Amino acid sequence: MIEVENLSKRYGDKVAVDGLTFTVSPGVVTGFLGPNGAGKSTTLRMIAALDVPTGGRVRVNGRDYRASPAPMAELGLLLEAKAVHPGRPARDHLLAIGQTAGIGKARVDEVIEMVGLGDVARKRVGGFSLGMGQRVGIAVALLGRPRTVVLDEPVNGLDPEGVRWIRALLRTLADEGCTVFYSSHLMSEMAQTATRLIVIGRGRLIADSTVEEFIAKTTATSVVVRSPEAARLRGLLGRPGVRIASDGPDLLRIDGITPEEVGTIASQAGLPVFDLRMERASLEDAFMQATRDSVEYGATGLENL
Amino acid sequence: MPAAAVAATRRREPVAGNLTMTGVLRSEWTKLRSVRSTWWLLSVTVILTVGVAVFVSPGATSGKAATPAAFARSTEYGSVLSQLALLVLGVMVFTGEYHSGMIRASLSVVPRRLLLLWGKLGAFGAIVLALSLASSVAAFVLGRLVHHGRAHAWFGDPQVTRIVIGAGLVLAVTGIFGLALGAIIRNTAAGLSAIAAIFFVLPLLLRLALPSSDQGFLRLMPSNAGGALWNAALSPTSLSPWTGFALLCGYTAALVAVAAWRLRRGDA
Repeated sequence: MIEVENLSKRYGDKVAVDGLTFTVSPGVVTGFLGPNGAGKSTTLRMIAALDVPTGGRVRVNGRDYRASPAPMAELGLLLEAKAVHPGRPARDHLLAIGQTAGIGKARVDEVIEMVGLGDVARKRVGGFSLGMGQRVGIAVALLGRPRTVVLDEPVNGLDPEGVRWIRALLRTLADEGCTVFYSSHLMSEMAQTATRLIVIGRGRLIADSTVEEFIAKTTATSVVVRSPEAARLRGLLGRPGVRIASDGPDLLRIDGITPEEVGTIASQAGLPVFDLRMERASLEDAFMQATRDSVEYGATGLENL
Repeated sequence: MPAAAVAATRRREPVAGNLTMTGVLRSEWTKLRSVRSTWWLLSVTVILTVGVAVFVSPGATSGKAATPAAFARSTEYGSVLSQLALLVLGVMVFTGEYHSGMIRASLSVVPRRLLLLWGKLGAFGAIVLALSLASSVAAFVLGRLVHHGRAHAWFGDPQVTRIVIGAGLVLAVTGIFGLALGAIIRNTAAGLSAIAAIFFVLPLLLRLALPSSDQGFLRLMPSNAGGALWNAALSPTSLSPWTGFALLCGYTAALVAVAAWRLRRGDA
């Protein structure tokens, strides 16, 4: 469990994190979203007690992380890929991290096999690809079998097989009762893996909900119906709160109504319906909508390409 | 891999024990031994210390019969050069981690941050102390064997033990001085520049710039204060041996205190 309470971080005049409050619960995968510069990495560093908050506080598994007698059993952290001395073999890197908590070679080798680095464990990290470096970082995060796992962009640089593996890993950890909190820029990835979302922009909380709730609350869910009698159907559906648009001569897009209602009305009127479906916005649409006003570093367009 | 990999995480008995000083010391030893630069710089330290004694030192005492103390001192001249290698190694203990970003991985598993400083000091200090003493003794013994015609110095002769052991002690403390400086400055290039300034450029500049009446100030420079411990004869421009060594240790302790304060309070 991660509890973030009224957390703030200021660098000089610049406010990176501004009064954030949220809780990440065990047993589900929670995604952390925000535009570039929203304060995600700063927040993650404060969770791990690497950055000192200007205000507010963080608790990991119910206490101040700095006071944990066994930090590696509490929190596993991936912040930057390849934050390793380039001249040090991967296995020695993991061993050095693990030894602080009495973790020996057997567990190190187990984790190395688990992340798929068995063949290169004795090679120096300087020669690793981005994806291999990422696996080293993930191995560090899993080494102490922590109750809470915090990963900044874990799928960065991984091949499709690695991405699927991360997905399975995060779900398995959550199923076993771990608290899993991870950030990603890949919306489709987040939509597939995360159950809950924390969305921030300009250091402030934008949403703290399930993925479905976030999409539903942020964007309209429309019913799309195709019928040769579209015009007659349109007349029957009109009522306060329902908005109807024509996408084509026989296509209607209707907000504020369920597909069940549309089907029932059409059937009672004896109108043929060829297609009837919900059209939900994607997580990406919802994210763009929700963070539109808090984009720090937005591109302005392609006119001058 | 995926099925096996996921299965491997299923057993969730705890594997991580408490964070302990012993654990951090082991971790720091693993970090030191697992990069090549450590071995290069430690080799350079030994080779320079011993090599100068064997191949170069008699020039300083040739012509006349040297006192045992002067002879012993002449076998330790190499440590003036080899301290540079240990200073570089010491500076990089911290700056290497800041450069690669490893410091955040290290501090994330050692959130009681001062433990990391004590662990680095302990592991590096133990290695450097053992190696410095071994090479200063080896320099004297080998120098004595090779140049036996020059003097009949041996342990037990006036001042000889102090000079030989002292040269090793000063070498070790100088390495720790570098470690503390690196922990404060956090950047390799800046750290090495500071070392060059404090140990080589500044003493030279001051010697040229200060009027001779003010040269007494020079004995307070870290390099000269330490050098007093293995002086053969007291000179007006030098502190007494143990006062000088105490001053070098004092400078080092002050740097360690600043490093501890800086590591503890800010962002990693």
